[in-house]
Amino acid sequence: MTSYTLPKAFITTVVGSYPKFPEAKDALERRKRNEISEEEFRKACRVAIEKVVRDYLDAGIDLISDGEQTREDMVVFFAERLKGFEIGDWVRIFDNMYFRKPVVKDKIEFVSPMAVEDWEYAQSISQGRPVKFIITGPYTILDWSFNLYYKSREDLIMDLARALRKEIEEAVRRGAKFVQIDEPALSTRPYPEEAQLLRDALREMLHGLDCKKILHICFGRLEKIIPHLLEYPVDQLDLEFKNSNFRLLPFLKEYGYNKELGYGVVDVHSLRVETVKEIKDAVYMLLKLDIIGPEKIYLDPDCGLKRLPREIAIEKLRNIVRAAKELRKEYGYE
Amino acid sequence: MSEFEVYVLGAYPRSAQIRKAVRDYDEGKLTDLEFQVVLQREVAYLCGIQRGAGLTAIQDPLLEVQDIFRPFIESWRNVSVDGLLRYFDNNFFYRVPVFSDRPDIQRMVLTRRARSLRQIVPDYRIKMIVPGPVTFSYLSRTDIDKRELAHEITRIYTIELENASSYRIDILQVDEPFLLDIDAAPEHYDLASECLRELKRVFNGKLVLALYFGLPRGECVKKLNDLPVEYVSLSLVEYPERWLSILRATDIGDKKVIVGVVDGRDIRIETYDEVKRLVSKLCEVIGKERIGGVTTSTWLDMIPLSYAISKTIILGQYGLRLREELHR
Ligand SMILES: [Zn+2]
Repeated sequence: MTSYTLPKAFITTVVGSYPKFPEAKDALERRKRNEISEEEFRKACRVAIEKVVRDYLDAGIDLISDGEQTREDMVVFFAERLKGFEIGDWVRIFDNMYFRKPVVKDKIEFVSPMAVEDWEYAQSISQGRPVKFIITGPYTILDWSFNLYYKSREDLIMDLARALRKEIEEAVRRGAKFVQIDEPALSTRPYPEEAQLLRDALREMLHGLDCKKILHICFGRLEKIIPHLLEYPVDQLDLEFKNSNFRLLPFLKEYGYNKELGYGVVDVHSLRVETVKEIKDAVYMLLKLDIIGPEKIYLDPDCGLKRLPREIAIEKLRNIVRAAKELRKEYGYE
Repeated sequence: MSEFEVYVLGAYPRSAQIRKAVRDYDEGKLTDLEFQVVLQREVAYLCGIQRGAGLTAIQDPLLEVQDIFRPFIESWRNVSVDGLLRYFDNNFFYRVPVFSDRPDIQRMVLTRRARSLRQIVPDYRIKMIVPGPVTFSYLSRTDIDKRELAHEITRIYTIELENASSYRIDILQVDEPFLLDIDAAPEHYDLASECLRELKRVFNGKLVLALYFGLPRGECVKKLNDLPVEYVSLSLVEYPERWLSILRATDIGDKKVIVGVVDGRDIRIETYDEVKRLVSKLCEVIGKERIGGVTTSTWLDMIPLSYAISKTIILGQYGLRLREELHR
């Protein structure tokens, strides 16, 4: 493996998902129809992972992901592979789009690694660039499933946390240096008691692990719970800013934000490619608050890129990389 | 004595046949008429389930509805839909309405709906839903002043209601989940009150304000009393103790509460004792004469159809027992 040294400041990264390549879509379909085994499925998806990694490297992203090509849905993927879940009946997400919402029917237990293999494969072909190990968090899995087994949400989330911890331990054992937990559901209920529910689960999941710990949350009114987020046992919060026009920034100042920040500078819901200047201006805006310095700022999109056309996703990433390079020069890091 | 209501709060989920029919219709494989035949068969079936469960009013299952706003948007001028946005705290997304100008009616929604429901249940009480003007306005994107937009939407509803009067809508439910959102403020309650007064002027049936998904917060709590409705529907499923303490501490006038006791967003089937416990607690706080009925905590469209049907049936059974026990 060639080695790669991360820049000292304005590290560029991604949140995780990438537009699905046809190879992955096809493999998902065939797996659903039981035409291929899990092993064949993984193998078929490798072609897609290679393409994802190539796009990231071409764009020049420092800290990449495997693009979540094997995950049709961020909760169903894990529910299908943990003990205790059954894949339930059809529930609507929007319009006429339905998905099979998982049901907790028994005690949740870890069976075998779920996302580790994809991560490991991406890491093996990334030419030394670190690959984030990314999993869906226990709050989101709980919130987007039905529960017919546990008496309380507390019990359920703690068992999920214990099971997911085993998954993370395995990734760290195999060399993952960056671990990211995705919790999009948390922003739908930005109340202190919900934030505390996740805090206890994160402690269970992450204590004592030797890796950089990142929590990604997006699209919601997080200002209501920033003080709680600051208590979380993670090194970095990765948040959406561009889509909500950087509305959160003053709140970071107000609550004395001091962690590393994954700074969402391009909108994944918009087809317009943000300019380099726009991205740099967003960074100036953050630096002007004088809460964290360039070493603690990671530049990335607001959220996963999966819903964007690939060409637009690439262009957005390229401009993030260009902006980061210019910024490093300006601030004396290159 | 007025009716002790036992009805479902809103829409049902689509069966596999309906999902397929919608897909085929969108792809041009079904004609309007063919689609309507499939749809009406399923609507009739779900109305039959509600009747069989002994509900006091039939809710239009709203099977063709993509989200609460869409049928209206598709029937009005100067409004279109844009990208998806999360619908309150759900893992369900609506398409954000975009008003380019004041809306205007192109086709009637309530009239069409009431007419077709009346064909299925000519002699039964029926309930119709409109998205609350405040919720509609504040979840939309527009350059028009949101207050003005809410009044415009109300104006259209009043035309709709006058037009639909011959179909005897027994209950009109105005859904204002936005009032329980963390961004709701007292002025939104004032605006809702103004709009509700306008609706009351033209609607002679039972007007129910439905509040769900969240809780009223801070200064909003005091505003509950000012809402000019006799019936308010709220859910004791998600935050029972907090709702009860709000109701204990706050005067809501002589409003009757139609209380959500069966969880519309969860598949666990409630026992009678659980439901009864909730209702008893509410009785202690507001008195049994002010319990106007029982319902589901939300619409039923976010659980699988089989569970929605089971929940309808237990709601009917439990509702009948509760009515007897309360009025003994
Ligand atoms: Zn996200």
